[in-house]
Amino acid sequence: MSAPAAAPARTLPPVLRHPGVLFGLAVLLVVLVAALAAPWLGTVDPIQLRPRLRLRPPSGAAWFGTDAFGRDVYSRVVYGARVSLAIGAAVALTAVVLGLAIGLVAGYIRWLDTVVMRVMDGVMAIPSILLAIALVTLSGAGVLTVIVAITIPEIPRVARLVRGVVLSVREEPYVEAAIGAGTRLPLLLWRHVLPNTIAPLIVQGTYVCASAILTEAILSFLGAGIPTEVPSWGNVMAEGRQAFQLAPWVILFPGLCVAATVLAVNILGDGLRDALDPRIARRVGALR
Amino acid sequence: MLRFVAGRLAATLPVMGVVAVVVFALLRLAPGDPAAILAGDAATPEQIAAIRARLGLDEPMLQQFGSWIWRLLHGDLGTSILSNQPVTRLIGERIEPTLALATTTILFAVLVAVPLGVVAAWRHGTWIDRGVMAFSVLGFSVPVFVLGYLWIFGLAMHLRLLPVQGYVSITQGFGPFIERLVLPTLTLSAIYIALIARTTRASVLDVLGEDYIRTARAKGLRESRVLSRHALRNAAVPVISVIGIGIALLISGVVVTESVFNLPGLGRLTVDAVLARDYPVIQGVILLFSGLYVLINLAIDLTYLFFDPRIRY
Repeated sequence: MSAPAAAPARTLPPVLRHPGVLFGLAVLLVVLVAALAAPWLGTVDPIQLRPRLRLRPPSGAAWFGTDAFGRDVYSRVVYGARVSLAIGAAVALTAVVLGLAIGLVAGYIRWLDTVVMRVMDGVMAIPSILLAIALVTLSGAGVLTVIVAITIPEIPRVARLVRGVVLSVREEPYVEAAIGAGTRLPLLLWRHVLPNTIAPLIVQGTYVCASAILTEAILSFLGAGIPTEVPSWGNVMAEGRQAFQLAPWVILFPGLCVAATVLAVNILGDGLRDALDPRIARRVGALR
Repeated sequence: MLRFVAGRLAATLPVMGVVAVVVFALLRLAPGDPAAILAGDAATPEQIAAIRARLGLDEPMLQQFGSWIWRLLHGDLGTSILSNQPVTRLIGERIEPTLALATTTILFAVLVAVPLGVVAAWRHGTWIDRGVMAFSVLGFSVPVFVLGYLWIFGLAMHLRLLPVQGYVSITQGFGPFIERLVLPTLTLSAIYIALIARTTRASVLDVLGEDYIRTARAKGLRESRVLSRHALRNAAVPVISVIGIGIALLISGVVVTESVFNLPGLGRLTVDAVLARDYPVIQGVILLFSGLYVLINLAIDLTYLFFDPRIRY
């Protein structure tokens, strides 16, 4: 499989020498540090209303200008990075874990396969934004609801990917040998099947993360996302909608942050895909 | 052939069944009393009871599902809680802008993306190829609405070339109609172009290594003919299937694009329904779009027979 993770590496492991991986990680690191160090980056209280300072253009005092309530857009964007990154990571992790479980079951238990995959096809036929909108509408706006709502439509894609890996691995001679030697199913999955899913799952996980950050921004922008008092990138933009002809900066700055972050995650994903294992390009790329 | 079509048609039934079950279960399994959720925070007990009676929420679950499916199959998508109008009528009133935008977007995206992908594969490894690939990653990353606002700021507000927002029906003149669709189309097609160009490039690249391409070149065919007749035609199946998969992306994008450009289509209908918690409308739009997605992908499967004579069923 991929680079041996266990061996203590004196030089950079090959994966980290890929320019795309390096670039993506670097940008993400900047965003992550900014998110964590938000209070010390020249920000003011992101939810403080200052009606006298409403819709001010970018200046030395307010780098990204102010919104219709006089809140500092720069501070809201920096604090918003926390929400976006947390949601991206949480969705990617949950979707990968659940998709892995479903994919393993579907790939290994023949009679369940058809049923499970039909259900996955059905969920995939529902446009993900609409499914998320419906879930948020019914369960009420909240960070947890949004995470669940974005995760559910992503699961089938991961499950399909894992099932594909399982189906191809189970034909391999070493798996047949292991079965012949009497290896029990749990050990078989753990030792022979699971390692083959790691590289494609890491790649798919980064794509899920990118799409989750985008989807959160879209949901909040449409008014079906994070509660409006929480400064997330989507919420900041949503508040800029009414006055966008007067104060384009309220939408542009958070928009550029979303774009840059998602771009970095996508480039990281493409880099990982090429660096980890060229064979998975075929499998993951088409499923995006 | 006929058996294949019939079989493929039958295969859409379980998918639509799952869609129906999910949409039905969403409301019933939501935490709390569904009638109270739909009625909103300021509702009186009488209003909640009225909604419960109208949706039949007191009946046993299976019976509810049965009668709901029965009404669906008769084209009854329920009644909007907000406006008290049949959901089918609301959808009918709003479908024109969405259909117009989707059509112009698909046409524009395919016309731009397929040549881009072919050229990128043909000039593999050059700056043209890298440019197309860079654009493709960018297209996946920039949120639809950010792109929409960038177009508005640049082309509509700054250069004053096009109207900022709004929609004019095609019945009121083709010029104004298309003029207001230019920016929404440019916005929505970006992600679709990225997807199709990337797949076209990969698929054509695969085909260009084949023996028959060398043969075609060896017998002195013009390069344009080699690319269009031999390479693209053989590379068509993955490209067409990604056009189908991308319909899902397109539907999500429609909702956002219509909000940005103030187009009174199904996307706006959905967003208004979200703000009013008008679940029957959301449910109707989901069923419609999911059905469309399944049907379009069915149609696309059938076109394989035409594009790739090697596929025989």
